[in-house]
Amino acid sequence: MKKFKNSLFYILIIGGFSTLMYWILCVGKHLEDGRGIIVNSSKKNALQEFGDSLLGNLNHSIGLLLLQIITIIIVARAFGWVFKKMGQPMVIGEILAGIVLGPSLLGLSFPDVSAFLFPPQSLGNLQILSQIGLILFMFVIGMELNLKVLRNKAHEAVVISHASIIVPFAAGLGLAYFIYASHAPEHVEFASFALFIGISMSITAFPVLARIIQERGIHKTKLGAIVITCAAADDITAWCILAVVIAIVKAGSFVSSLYTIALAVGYVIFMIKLVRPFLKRIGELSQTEKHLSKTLVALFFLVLLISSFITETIGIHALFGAFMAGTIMPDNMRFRNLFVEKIEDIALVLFLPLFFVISGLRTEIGLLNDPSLWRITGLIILVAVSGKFIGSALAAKFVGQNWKDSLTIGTLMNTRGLMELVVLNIGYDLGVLNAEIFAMMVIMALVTTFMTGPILNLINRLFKKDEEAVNEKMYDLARYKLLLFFRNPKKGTALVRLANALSKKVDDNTSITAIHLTVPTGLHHIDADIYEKENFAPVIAEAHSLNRKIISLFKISNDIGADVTDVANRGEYDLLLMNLEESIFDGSVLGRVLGFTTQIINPEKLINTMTGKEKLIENSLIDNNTRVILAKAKIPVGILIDKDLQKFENIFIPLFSENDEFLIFYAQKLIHNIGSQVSVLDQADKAKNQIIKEKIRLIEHNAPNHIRSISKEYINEEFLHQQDLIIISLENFDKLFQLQKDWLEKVPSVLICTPDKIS
Amino acid sequence: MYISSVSFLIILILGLVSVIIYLYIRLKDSEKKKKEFEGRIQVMRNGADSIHLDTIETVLNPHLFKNILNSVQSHAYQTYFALDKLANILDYILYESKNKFVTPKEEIEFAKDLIEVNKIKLSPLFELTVKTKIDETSSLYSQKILAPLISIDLIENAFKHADLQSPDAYISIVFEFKDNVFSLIVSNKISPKMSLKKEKGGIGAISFEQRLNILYKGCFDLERLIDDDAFIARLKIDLNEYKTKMFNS
Repeated sequence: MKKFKNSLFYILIIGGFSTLMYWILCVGKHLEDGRGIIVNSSKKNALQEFGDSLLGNLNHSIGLLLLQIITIIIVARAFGWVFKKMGQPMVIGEILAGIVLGPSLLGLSFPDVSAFLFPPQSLGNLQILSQIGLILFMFVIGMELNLKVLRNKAHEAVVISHASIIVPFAAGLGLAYFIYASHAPEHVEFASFALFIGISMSITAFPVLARIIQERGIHKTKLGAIVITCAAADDITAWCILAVVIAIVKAGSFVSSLYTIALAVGYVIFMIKLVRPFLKRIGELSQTEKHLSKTLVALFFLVLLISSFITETIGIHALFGAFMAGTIMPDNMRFRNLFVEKIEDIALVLFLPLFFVISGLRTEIGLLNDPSLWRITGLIILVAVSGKFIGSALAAKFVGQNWKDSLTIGTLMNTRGLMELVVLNIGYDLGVLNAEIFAMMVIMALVTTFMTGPILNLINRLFKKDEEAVNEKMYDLARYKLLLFFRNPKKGTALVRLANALSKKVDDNTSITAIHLTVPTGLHHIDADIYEKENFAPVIAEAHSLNRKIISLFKISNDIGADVTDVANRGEYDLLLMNLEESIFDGSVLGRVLGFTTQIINPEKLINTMTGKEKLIENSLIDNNTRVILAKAKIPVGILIDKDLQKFENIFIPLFSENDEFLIFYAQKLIHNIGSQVSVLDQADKAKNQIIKEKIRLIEHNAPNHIRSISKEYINEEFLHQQDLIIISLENFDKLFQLQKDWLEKVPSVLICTPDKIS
Repeated sequence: MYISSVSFLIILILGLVSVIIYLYIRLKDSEKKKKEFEGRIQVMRNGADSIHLDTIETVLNPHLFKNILNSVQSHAYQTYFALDKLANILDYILYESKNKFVTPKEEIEFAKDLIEVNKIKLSPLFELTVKTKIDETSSLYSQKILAPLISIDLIENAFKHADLQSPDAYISIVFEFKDNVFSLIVSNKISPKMSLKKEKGGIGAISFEQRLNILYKGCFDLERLIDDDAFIARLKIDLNEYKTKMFNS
């Protein structure tokens, strides 16, 4: 009744007032008389008019800007994905996306599209946005830089880092000497040009490098620490030099630049001596709070913006101020993380691709239309690589690293990534670099970043032998080796319980490894240890309470599916146990059909669906990453659909074909180790499955009351309700639900198993 | 008027009395019928029980038989299975062990059969892990280069000495063939008690090593170690090295 009353009230009020409004408008029409109003009527019909207004809206700057951003983000993500699949840093793909959208490709092949999407007058907006993005980005970089690391083990690292700057810098100056006459823009002094070439040769991309180190899992080693420290020192030094170079270029002469430099030094002292303690005090005061208050956030943003403003006014770039503001933020970890998280996503996902596209729009590969120009590009790459690589590798060898580590350091320091782009853009804006040199340098940045991965692989292969012998323990080989892969720490505990149930009694002869991978969210690298500890805590606690030993393995990964199978296959595990991924679109039609999960879009799934390799809806219970793992893993896999799996007293194993025989193995393990009672439904062809029957009978004789065969009629809701776990083969997984469609909601935890692919 | 009302009352009382008498007779009648029915039900129940007993008795015997049949059938099946494997083993010993060398493939197949036969004395719940990590593309995998019966000593030992009684007992056997290196790792749980000295035996280990020494001098590696209550043995034969040595000598 109440509902009805509400609806009635709703209809009355909306209907009544709508009529009233219409009446007022009609009556008000008479007021127009004699006011000379021209009715906006045109000869076009309604549809045409609508079309025109649509186009007009698009050409309106904000509409176009939004369209540009949409295009850029989609293309950048797509390219990033491709490169991720190739095992390269996503940054390369994103930079390439920028070039593709620029005049080099889109402008060349589809001039109309390019002119419509990126008309020259619209680039101003894009540029401003991208600059803001860069300022935020540099701020994050500054915050990620842990100055304490520098203080602790600086000595070696600083030597390597400075050697790795001075050598390519000198090489760059030499290079400038040869190409100044033919390629430098007019009205640019040799000193400015040479200094700029020098600085762009000595850049190392701290963020890309940090990510590569994490992806390869060397961030915990001594080598990783040295490289990170080197890169940090490199970053600071290079930015200081860059500030000086900018000052010199802007002031025109070295002497007048001294004023700028003096001001800059004053600024730095002011920031470090006055602002930093102040911020630190504020950080301490608000340490206990869980979230940052809005006032505090506003204050820090103000510091950032004012700092950028000052440096821009002084005559060194605004980016320098942002970087500086980042470094002087309170070094309390939790505090920085909170703040970084706030900015990072917007800065990296939304704004940074804009920056790449702005760089791409400036990169006109078409200008390099002469073999001699390509020769110079080659020369630039050669100088850049040899200067940086040789400089840092030799320095590392000199301070006492072995050859492998020295070469690795050299390779990593040679990674230029997007920091190079930042420098190049500054140079371009200042007019020190012309479009030609700019394009060459962008190519150089791409090449040097791209080669890092393959060269690291090569080095690893060359120096493989002395590493392997240490790690192998023959005892370990004979064990029953379980690998637990969990994504959600809380769900990981169920896997530990399952592993325990499978191997409790033969603890000595079992090894359990838990692996957790995470996608690199932004640039976090300093807090990876904390993150690792937090994520493993529930799993390790569970293992502890069960009195089991567990080995933990943590990695930052771009391609979770591939990395898990890599660990599983190479570690020669006997069983991989994992959870299903919880998807944000779980259950929604869009999520199921298109494979929209946590990734924006998954082309693999789309292709497979189109070609009919995968059934559209049926397989959708199993997420993309899990599918990749299932396809690539050479070892048996068990996927646990966990519905609060606590005990293992009643187990139900439906067998649908003789291929399901391997499931008996799990029954055997569970009965032996934890004393489960197993009910087996045998739907396989009875005439053929003597083996299955025999296996069950044999177990029954040895462990009466622990295993029984049941018929299909026996299974009902009540029966399912009593079960703790259902074990079923992947092959026949869907058959379980064909028995009764609405079971999906009612079943207990399910373990979906695949057989051993080899034997 | 008065009389008529009195006579009406009398008639009414008479009527009521007759109704009561009628109802009483009916009640008696139905009680009698009820008793009769109860008696009949009792008789039927007795009859049913005796029939039920008959059926239970007739079912009991075949069920007993079925159970026993099950056990026997199972044993027969196991025996058949074991005999089948044993036949393979016999074949191998009869025809292959005469040859000086067999292929690693054959030897590993043989060893697997041997493990199957040994399984008879184990509970089906026993933790027996057999892993094979074989790179079939290895060039020497199907060449006659491995001495026959080289793997039985370690496997037999594991089944002989494993502490089958303890609940956490296990046997793990790993066959590996990679880069032309054959290796066999056997580990098992051993009883913490002192081993009982037997009158016979005890030459197996020595003769095995002698044989290896004669055949693969310098190209093999035999390790045995005891780690807590686990016994681990590993045999490794570098067939590549052996082959080059063979050609050079």
